[in-house]
Amino acid sequence: MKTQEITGSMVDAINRVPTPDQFYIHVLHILLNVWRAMTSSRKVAVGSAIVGIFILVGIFGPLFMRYDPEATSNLFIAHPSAEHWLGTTVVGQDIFSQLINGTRTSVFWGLGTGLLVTLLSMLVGLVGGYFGGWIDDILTLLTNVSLVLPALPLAIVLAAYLPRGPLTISLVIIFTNWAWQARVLRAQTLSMRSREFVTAARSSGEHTWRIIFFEIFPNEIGIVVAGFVSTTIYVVLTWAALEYLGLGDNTTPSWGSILYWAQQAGALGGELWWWFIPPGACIALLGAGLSLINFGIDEIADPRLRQDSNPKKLRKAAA
Amino acid sequence: MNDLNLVIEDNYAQDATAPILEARHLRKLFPLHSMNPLGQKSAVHAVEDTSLALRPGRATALVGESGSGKTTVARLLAGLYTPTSGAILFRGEPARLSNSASLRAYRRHVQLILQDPFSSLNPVHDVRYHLSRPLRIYGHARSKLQETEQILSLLNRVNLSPAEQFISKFPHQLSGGQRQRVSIARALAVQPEVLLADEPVSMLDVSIRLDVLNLLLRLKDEERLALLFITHDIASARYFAEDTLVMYAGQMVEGGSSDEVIQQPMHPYTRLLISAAPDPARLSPDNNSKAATPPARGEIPSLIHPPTGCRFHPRCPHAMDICRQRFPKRTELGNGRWTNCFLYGDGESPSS
Amino acid sequence: MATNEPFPGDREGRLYHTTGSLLLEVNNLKVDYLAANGTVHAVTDVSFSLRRGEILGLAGESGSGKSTLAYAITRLLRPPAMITGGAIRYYPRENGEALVSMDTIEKDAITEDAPGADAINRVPTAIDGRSIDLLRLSPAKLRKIRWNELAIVFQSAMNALNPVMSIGAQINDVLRAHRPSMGPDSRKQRAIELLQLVGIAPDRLRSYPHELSGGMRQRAIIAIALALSPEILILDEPTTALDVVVQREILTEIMRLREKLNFAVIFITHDLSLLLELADNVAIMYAGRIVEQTSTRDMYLHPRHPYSYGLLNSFPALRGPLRRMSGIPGSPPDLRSAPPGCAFHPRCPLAISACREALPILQPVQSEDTAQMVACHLYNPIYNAEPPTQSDLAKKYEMLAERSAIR
Repeated sequence: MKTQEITGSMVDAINRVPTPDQFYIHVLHILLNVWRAMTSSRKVAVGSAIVGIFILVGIFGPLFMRYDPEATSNLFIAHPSAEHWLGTTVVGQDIFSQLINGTRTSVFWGLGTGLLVTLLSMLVGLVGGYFGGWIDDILTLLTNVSLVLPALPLAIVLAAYLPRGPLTISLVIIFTNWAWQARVLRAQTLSMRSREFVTAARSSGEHTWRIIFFEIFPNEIGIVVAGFVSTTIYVVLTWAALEYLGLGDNTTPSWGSILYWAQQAGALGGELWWWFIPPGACIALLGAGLSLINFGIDEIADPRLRQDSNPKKLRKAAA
Repeated sequence: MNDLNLVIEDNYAQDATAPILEARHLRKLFPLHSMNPLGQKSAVHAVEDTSLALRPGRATALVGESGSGKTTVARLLAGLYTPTSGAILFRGEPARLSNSASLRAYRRHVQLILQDPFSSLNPVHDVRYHLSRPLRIYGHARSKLQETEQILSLLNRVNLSPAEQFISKFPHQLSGGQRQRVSIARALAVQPEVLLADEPVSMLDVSIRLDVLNLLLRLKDEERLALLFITHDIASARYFAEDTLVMYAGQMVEGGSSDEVIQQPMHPYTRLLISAAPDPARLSPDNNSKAATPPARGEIPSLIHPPTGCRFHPRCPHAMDICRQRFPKRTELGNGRWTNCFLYGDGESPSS
Repeated sequence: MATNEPFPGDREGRLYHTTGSLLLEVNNLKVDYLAANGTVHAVTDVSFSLRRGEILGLAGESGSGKSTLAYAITRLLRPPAMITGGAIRYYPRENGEALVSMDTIEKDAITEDAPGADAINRVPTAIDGRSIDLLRLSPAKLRKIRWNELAIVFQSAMNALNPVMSIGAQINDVLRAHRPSMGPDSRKQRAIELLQLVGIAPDRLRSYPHELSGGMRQRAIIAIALALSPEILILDEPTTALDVVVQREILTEIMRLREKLNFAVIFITHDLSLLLELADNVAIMYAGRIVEQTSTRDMYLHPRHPYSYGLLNSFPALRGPLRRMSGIPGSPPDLRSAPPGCAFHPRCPLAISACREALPILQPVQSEDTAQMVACHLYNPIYNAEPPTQSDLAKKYEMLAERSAIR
């Protein structure tokens, strides 16, 4: 190729082209688009708000705790009052403080585990989907076996035999839940693999790993995010379930463990509604918030599901 | 040296430069996996015994319909498939396409342009990314500055001006013709000697096809590229390429200079193709030519169980017994014309 | 079915096909796509007429609105696309068995043609003055018209055929829906007749679409379209997805059927060179409007509109001298932001200042008393004294070709 002389106007052109600082402006643009997407659909807006509140409580909540969540007191099973907003447990612990403390554990361990599950399933799905052949065969076998095993019972069994602690629960949940998302991603990668831009990238001499992570994966981010949200819902619920069954670490506070102690004290049958309803409501609310985001992602991705294009309105406008 | 006048001259006989890329007796079978392990293994016989040669500064058209194997030939030459048998020679040396490193070295010289402008660019990356990758991979640019300057220069060469505007656009912001130009620029970024264009304009609007074809022609002249132009439109083959090769159901049936192949087609399939092509000139009152042979019936055969011998024999109005038995050898008809048809002989030179 | 007959129709004879009675009249049709960020005028102010037995070609590229027009005529448009203006008048058969009884259609859908209507059009009004406005028909009445009188063949047969039903079952479906009086035996008989008509062996009645080749599928679609002997057949890029040889066979078939059954055809395609071989009259569309409308002979011999000329010269010739051709620079406009004045002016090598300001109207070109209509200021004596000749157009396009070669 004959290289042309660098003319003055070309230098100007080169200078006008985006530089690394403008990269951050580009990122800002992306965030702005995300914000616009989030507020465009009511479902996503509401869901994001709910999840956002929980995250904020998780981060800043403990600053507002009036009592040490583990401190016992003489005020047993007190009704909610100005002193104890959500009453006390059977050993006098402030339930509201416990709830806030538990939020931190539940939300962050939930999101973190969800993230790890997503990463693992991404790896398996992308690699199996792109390479095919014996690699794919082995990974698919592992995926199918993992899918067939019932997740919750297996989780219960494993949690029962392994040393207690949030890390254990996290690993158990990861182990039992990675397969579904891996299968979805594999299918998507298989279809992406035969797209022409992948052929073009190969033909340009692109390295395989770059093709997987820089050409194919960016097109799948939507699915991965949706998968992450679904997975996190399941993680939060499973975590609560395991805790409630007493298989978690009862000393680390979380919504599930509050429920466990509530159940131990017989609160579930009785009138101590302030003990078990708040944590249950939090679990349900977080799950609902995440689900709304999930529905909303569908809407954003597929314009036909959007509720705001009203044919009647359009006809009126045309008349 | 560049002759940009309106009449394109045909120098086939005088051009004796060595071919830069050659395919010899390429054969490609795609095995089909059957459920029954004891059953017969079947395969798609996509390409049978194909040979061609590409020379610098010359465009060769490969014409055929669907199932003719022309796209498979392009992908074989681009290294995307490995031939079942046969050889690919680059500058006379067999091309080693076994591992990724040798493939990359090969692709430095041979680039492929794909048909669909809408899916051959990754929707999440901008033009800069698309063009910078080949520059980086092949070491033509080692710094951001060099990269930018070369990208701008490439965009100017494919007439995407002002280049600074296009560099940050995403594929969905470009029209079909512009996207195809980006694909061409991407192929050029590698600085290849051979460009394989697989139906580069079939999916573009009619009025912009010629622009892209003219661009390719200009690049061919300026850079002395060897071009392979794959198409189903025989009229554009005549416009674009000096030589034309005709394929049918995986077999090559005729070849020679474009003008001669189209004005005096020898093989019955070529005749069928030309008589079927839209030709408004037939309307003209001073046009006396009528179709020389009546069009043949039938459709392109299945490549899994192709007809024996010459694959055109079920449809050929001149089919003989021998056509069913084996595929005719190439008969040279002089002046670069050749055909594979028993009507003209079986591998011997013309007697007259 | 022999295809060794010479290419259909004597060229001369086809020119005079336009003597059948008036069949369909489209007046000032407007179709808009209503979107949140603005309205797209997909079809604006389109008028043409179709006579019995005529083949009308509609040529255009992407964004020209030709497919939208086809869907509008058959009222297959879905929101956000809406017909926002105009009328489509259909003149049913008066003699022979009128399969659509005029009495069954409510009076308000029938309009009497006002005398002197459509004065600029060169077509006379229907014989008894009675027509049906397709746009005002209720769904029930529309159903009677559809397929009985008006059938459409889509681009991709694979999309139009139900993959889980055999083609015999699909033909049967159509017959059962529209001819309740036919018994199962007569339906089967008719299905076999139809398949034979398009050259498919009757034993394929029980084949599924995936068992047929592309050409045969398209033929099956045509058979279904002709099941009720419609008066108008609309073909929307029927052979674009097919190979050249199969395309030629199918089109030959359609022309042969047309000779036999005398239905009118609206043939929509981007392949102008094909239209010139087949159609009687051709209308070129650009950015939702008709820019030129004339007989194919006139279009071939002297295209008037610069776009028509450019389009015609975008097809490399199969014979004749080889020369550098240029196509048309630029690309079809984005209809959301159409240029002011004439939509073609940014790409037109002969544009004058008026082209940017005023919208040209489809008007007859007066010379040589051929009924050629063109929407171009160059032929409007108000804006331009000397209309361009063929050699003017040729010269300007040649200059373009040279410029693209040098750059």
